[in-house]
Amino acid sequence: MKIKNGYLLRTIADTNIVVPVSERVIEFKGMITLNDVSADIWRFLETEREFEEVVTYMIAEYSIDKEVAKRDLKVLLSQMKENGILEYDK
Amino acid sequence: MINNEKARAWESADSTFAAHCARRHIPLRGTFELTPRCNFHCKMCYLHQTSEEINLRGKRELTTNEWIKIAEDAINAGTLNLMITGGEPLLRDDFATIYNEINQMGFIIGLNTNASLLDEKYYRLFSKYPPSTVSVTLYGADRETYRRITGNEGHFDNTVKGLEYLKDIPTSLDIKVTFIKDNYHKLDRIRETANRYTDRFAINYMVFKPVPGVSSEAESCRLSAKECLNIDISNRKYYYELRKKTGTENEYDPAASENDPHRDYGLDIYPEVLTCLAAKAAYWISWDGRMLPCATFDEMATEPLKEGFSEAWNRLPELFAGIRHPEECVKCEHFYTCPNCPAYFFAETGSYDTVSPYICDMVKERTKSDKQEDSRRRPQDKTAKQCKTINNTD
Ligand code: SF4
Repeated sequence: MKIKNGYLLRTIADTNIVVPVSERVIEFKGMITLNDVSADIWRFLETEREFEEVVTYMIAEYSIDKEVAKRDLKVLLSQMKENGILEYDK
Repeated sequence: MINNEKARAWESADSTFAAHCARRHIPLRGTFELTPRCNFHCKMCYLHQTSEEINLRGKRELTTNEWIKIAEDAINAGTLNLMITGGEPLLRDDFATIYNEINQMGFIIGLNTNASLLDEKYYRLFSKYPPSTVSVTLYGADRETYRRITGNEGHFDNTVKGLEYLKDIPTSLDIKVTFIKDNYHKLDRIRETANRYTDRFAINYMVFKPVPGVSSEAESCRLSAKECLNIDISNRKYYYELRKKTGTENEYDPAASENDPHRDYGLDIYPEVLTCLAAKAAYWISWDGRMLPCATFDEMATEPLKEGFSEAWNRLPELFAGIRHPEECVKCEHFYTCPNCPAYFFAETGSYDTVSPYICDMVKERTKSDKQEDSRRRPQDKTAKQCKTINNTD
C-alpha cells in the first residue's frame, strides 16, 4: 500500500497539512491535518510498504511495543482508507 | 457537486487556522491579481484598465515566469489559500500555463471570474484540474441590466453559458452580486438565477471610489445608505423565511455570519489599525507585481520581485506604523462593528484618518434600523458580544 500521488504534505506554522493537488481535488476538497507522528508515517507511506514494514518502522522510530504500533497504525490506516487516500498494489 | 460537506467543514476550520497563522505572521492567504484588464466595462469598477492605459502609465503586467516565481516563493513562505483574480484572469493568453504550474504546487486554489470567457477549452482544463472554489460575479438576471452595468448585453448570454459549464465542474461554486442603482430592484430575480447554479449566494453593496489612475462612475451609481440597508434587509428576510420553511440554516444566510471572526482575532495583532487579516496572514499581489495588504490598500506596497518575497512580506506591517484610526472612530460606539478600515477611508477621502461619510452614514442607518428591528432576528447585541471576545483574546 502507498499514499496516492497528488497529495502533498506541507508544514505551515508548525502544522502538518495534506493538500490535494491537480486531479485529486476532484475526490478530496479541503485538507487533512496530521500530528507529527502521523506525518512521519505518512512520509514513510509515500513509498510502497507492507503493513508489517510500517509496524517495524514505528517500533524502531518511537520505541513502542508491537501491539501498540499495530493498534495505532490500524486506526491511522482506517482513517486514510475512509478518505480514499491509499492505493494498493494488485 | 462533489465533497461539499468536506469543503464546508474545511472552510470553518480554516478561520481558526488563519488566526493561528496571523499570530505567527505567516502569509497563509494570497491573492494573485493576474491582470487589471477585463472584457467587461463595469461602470463601478475600481480597477479596470485597458492595455493602452497600462502602457500610457509606463507599466506592464507580470510575465508568465514572474507569476510562477512568485507562486514558488509563496509556497516556501507558507501560503496555503491562493485566490486568482483580475480584472478578468481568463483574459490572459497564458492563463492555462500559469494555472497548470501553480496547480501542482500545493495551494488550495480559488478563482474569481465573471464566467463569460469560460469555453470548451477552460471547461476541459477545470474538469481535469478543478479549483477548490470558483466565485462568479453576476451583475443581473437579464441582458438589459448587463448592458447598463457591463456595457454589453451579450455579456449576459456569455455569463449564463459559462455558468452552465461550471455546473458540471467538480468545484464549490459561489455567486456574488454587487448592487448599484442599475440592479437595485432585481435582487429576487438575480438570486433566483444564481440559485439555478448554486445556493452559495452573497451580496455586496459597498462600492468604493477607484484606485488612482482609474476612472469609474462609482460615486454616481452606488446605492445610498438607505438603499444599502433596504437591500440587506430584503436579503435577510428571504433567508429568514427560508430558514423558517426548511428548518435549516443556509450557509449564506446573513444571520449565520453575524459575527465576523476576522475582527475578533485581528484587533490585537500588529498592525492593530487593520482589523482584518491583511498584512497579518493575508496579502495581495497586484498585476504589476507589488505586494499589498489587500486590493483597497493600493498605496501601501512592498516589492516581492525586487526585495524577495519573505522580505516584502516581513516589511508589509511596518508600512502601517504611523497610521491611526480617526479620533472620532475610536470614541464612537460603533467602532467594533463598523467597516472603518483606513483603506476605505483613503479610497473615499484621500486620507487614512479622515472619516468617510459614505461609510459612516451606512453604519448609522443600519444601527437606527437594528434598534427598530424585531428582536427575533437579532437575538444578541453584536457590539457587546464582540467587545467581550476582544477582551478575552489569549
Ligand atoms: S460609524 Fe463613523 S465614526 Fe463610527 S466608527 Fe464608523 S466611520 Fe468611525
